[in-house]
Amino acid sequence: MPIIGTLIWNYSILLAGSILTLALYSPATAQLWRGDNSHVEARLISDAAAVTPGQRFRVGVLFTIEPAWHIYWINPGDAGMPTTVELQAPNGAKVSDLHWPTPHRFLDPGDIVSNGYEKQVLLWWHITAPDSASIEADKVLTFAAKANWLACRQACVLGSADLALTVPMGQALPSPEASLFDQTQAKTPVAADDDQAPATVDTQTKNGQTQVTVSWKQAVTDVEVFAGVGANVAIDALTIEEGQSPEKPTVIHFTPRLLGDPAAGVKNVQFPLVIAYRPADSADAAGKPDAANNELKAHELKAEARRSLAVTINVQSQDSKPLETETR
Amino acid sequence: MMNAYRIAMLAVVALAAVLTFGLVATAGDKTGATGAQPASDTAMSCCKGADKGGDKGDKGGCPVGAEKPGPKAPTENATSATASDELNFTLNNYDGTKVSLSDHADKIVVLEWINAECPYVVRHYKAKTMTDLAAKYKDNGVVWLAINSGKNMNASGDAKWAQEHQIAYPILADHAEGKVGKQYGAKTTPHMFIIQQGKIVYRGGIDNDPNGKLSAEERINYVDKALAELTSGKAVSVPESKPYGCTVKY
Repeated sequence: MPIIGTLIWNYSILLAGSILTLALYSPATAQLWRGDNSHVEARLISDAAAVTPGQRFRVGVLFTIEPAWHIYWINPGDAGMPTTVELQAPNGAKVSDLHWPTPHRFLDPGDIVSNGYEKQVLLWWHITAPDSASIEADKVLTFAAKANWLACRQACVLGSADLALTVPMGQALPSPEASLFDQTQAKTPVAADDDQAPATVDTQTKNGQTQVTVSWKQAVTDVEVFAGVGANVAIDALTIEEGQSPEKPTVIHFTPRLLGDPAAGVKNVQFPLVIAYRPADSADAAGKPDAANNELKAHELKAEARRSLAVTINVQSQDSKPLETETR
Repeated sequence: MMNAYRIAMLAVVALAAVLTFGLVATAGDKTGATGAQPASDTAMSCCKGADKGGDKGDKGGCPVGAEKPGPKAPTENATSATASDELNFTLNNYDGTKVSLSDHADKIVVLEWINAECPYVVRHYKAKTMTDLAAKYKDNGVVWLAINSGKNMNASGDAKWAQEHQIAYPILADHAEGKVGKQYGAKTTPHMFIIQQGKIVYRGGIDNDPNGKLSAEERINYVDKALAELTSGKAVSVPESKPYGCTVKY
């Protein structure tokens, strides 16, 4: 056999091996970076192993990230690039908006602040399976997704992946990844007007400054604010007056500003303001000294207990200046 | 037979390494070709950094980085002398020559933060975005200065990059402390500033196309647009945009 042919054949074996490993990749080991040079692995997964017609279930792109590296939120912050995922669903299936779990904040020298995810993140959608009439003969739902990301540590590396997933139609059956979806959904912002929301939110605008008052139903700690703005909105002078209890609301002030060419006619932009917190009682649990590794453990518990709510901010430009905002 | 097998396996490992590194090295191009971007601007990218504050260690106050750092864009009332002082700097080019902003007080000056290891910078240099634009306005009173504030980079690396991409303008060494980068609040590579008569008249990205995916019709090069306006005596219509790219590696 010619040497080159052998080499290519052997390399294809290696590739096939990698793909096989990926297929056998279980959620229990999902937090472990198994290592290659791409810094990020992406998989398209579902919480259902099989679904019935019309069933609501979840599909998402699971990113597993090499330790010390991170990828970015919808608003990456000072630098970086938003991670993007696009889902192609079968005919007749309904797809929700993309759900982004609460991001984390990264600080780099030079006061560079960015928003994103380390270790692992699942960006997910609610799917409603097609009704019986529109199910195709093969009785399999086929999904495809395209993911793009920028992974950064000291250096930054762009990455992309084309992903596929099939979910059989039949008797409803959860997948081994259902619990991962449950955990992720708990870390995804709850709409401020949802009954489950941990606070009521009031938003007012005066002289171009927006004031968001978060009246907590329970005591909270570690309040952080993330504005999910696009490239066309700047948020200036953001401050947080940190109340943390039903008696003392958290008050957030900022001044939104539309960027870009006023002649381009952009007059109205909406974005989610995500308010992250931890229930105060979780802080107690996390703070209990335990063993030698309690610091790491406490950090993990804190991350697990982190929750958030989201309020939609509407930025309107009236002849560009002054800006007026309101919420919906 | 055994030896041949060993040699083949070693070659496989070597080939795997080459292929893997090759994939990493071309990742920028790959994404450029296949990138997915939501249709809506609102769903994309970003803010001016002021939303980024948390409450860490500063209860009730303005969070980290919430105020825009760097020199404030001088107001209409500011005297240009004051503004110039605030913006001025002196740095060495990679060849050792000193360059000051004040050397070009009568010119329109473009500042470009650069990092040869950043895929966004690499993409723009492959496309000659910066070098072509600098050449286009060279005879219209526009001076182009690249600045490298990367701590782990050096002048010899900048010289190599300049030679590789036939760059006619200086690449100024701000490596040691990143003083000028922090003075201007440069966050990304590339991060662009245009200075005229001692004032920042444009700050932000080179264009509206972070992923390099837009068609020529859709793409707006903000620096080109601003320079065209400035060199024909007009005001800059888009004085600010969201900068994108890698973080400046201070």
